[in-house]
Amino acid sequence: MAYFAITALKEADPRGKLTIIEFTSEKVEVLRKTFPSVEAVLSSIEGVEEYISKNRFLIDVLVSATDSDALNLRYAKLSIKNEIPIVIAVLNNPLNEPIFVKENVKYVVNPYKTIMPKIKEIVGKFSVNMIYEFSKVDGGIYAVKVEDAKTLRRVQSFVLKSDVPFFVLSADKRIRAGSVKDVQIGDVVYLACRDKEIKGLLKKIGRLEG
Amino acid sequence: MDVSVVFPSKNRGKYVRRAVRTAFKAKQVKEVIVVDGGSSDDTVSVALKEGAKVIVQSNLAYPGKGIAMRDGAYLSSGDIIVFLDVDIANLTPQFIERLYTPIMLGEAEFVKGCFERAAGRVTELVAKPLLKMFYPELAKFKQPLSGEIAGLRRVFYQVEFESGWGVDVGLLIDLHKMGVKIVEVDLGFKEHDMKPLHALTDMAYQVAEAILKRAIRDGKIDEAWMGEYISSLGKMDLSGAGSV
Repeated sequence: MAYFAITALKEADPRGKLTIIEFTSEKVEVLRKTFPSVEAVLSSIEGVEEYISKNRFLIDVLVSATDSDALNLRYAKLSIKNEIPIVIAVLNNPLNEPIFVKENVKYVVNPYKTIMPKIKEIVGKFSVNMIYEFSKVDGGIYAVKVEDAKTLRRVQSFVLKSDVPFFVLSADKRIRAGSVKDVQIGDVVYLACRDKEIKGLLKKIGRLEG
Repeated sequence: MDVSVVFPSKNRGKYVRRAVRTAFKAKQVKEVIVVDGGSSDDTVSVALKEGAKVIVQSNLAYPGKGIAMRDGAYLSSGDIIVFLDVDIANLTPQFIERLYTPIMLGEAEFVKGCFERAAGRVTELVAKPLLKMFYPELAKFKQPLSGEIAGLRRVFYQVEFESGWGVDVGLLIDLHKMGVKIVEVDLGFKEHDMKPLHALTDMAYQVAEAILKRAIRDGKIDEAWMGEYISSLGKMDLSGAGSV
């Protein structure tokens, strides 16, 4: 957690003075070696509180990213009380987000928040089965089941317009290539094309959110 | 001195209302904290309704009693922290007061509660033999695994909490090593659910691990010790002769 916070802060403000407080000498040692330009300080649980109160006029941003949400909440609340301009808390358990919000912690980083949209994005991309992914281009062989008349029209129009190679597995288990006009409802059409091409088709047949 | 009461809890909705109300009735108690282990019942909403501070324990993947206790300690603001199991059916305000009184009187910095009942199976079969082996000075404690404890908040901030069931014995050993003044207080009869035997396996492992880890750290296990121990096994009569 500390690694990401330090890297982000350094990138956001390369000239800013960065101090990291750790509770064990081993961690302080590692941080000093990893980030020579960062001041790494050894302190205790309560020592951090003293540090925040003592340096309240010097601290522009406080990031509380310990492995305990209770401690993060404690430091965040104290920092807000001390009027530190930007207070950021990094959560360990996403279930604690409402507690932080209730305590007026304005910036709560929930690392788990990206999981759902990211999975949705990845799976959405393949909301038809990707049978084979090409290694050298963004594309592959996709299987689209022709479930209704609308899908049939869209698939036929897509193949004709894009001129993509395809073959068909028919409902009666026959494999055939040939004219896309012969495709029927119930068939599975295998299309070899690029991701961006298939996305247009998927949107049209409602299998990819706009 | 103000007191914070901490209840680690998971799916204990039916106990939490009574526990929080009782804790607030004890003298000097300024806050009650429920550290939830990701309950699927109404533990959190009931605790909040009763005026407790609630936090969900930090370790999402592996909820453990020790993590819950640590989070509870970090959220506390009282001079003294009392940790209690939430499912004590006969919890009274006096029960809580008895736990922290030796600290108020300056007779202790850490108090371990014990009860009028046979100590648990993990206590008798794992904790006590290992403590006798490596920390004989702690073998006098009737219930070294008791979860009913009280201590000055500052002492809890100086030790590392084991994540799981090893937390209670870990605290006992570490606080003893730090020279913290420890007493054991008899809390009378405790009425609570007993765990089934199969549920004790993890607990036994974690308790053993917590003690052995410290024995290694404190230089109590080395090659010489192992040699001596193994040779003593050779002298033991393991035939069963003479046993009942």
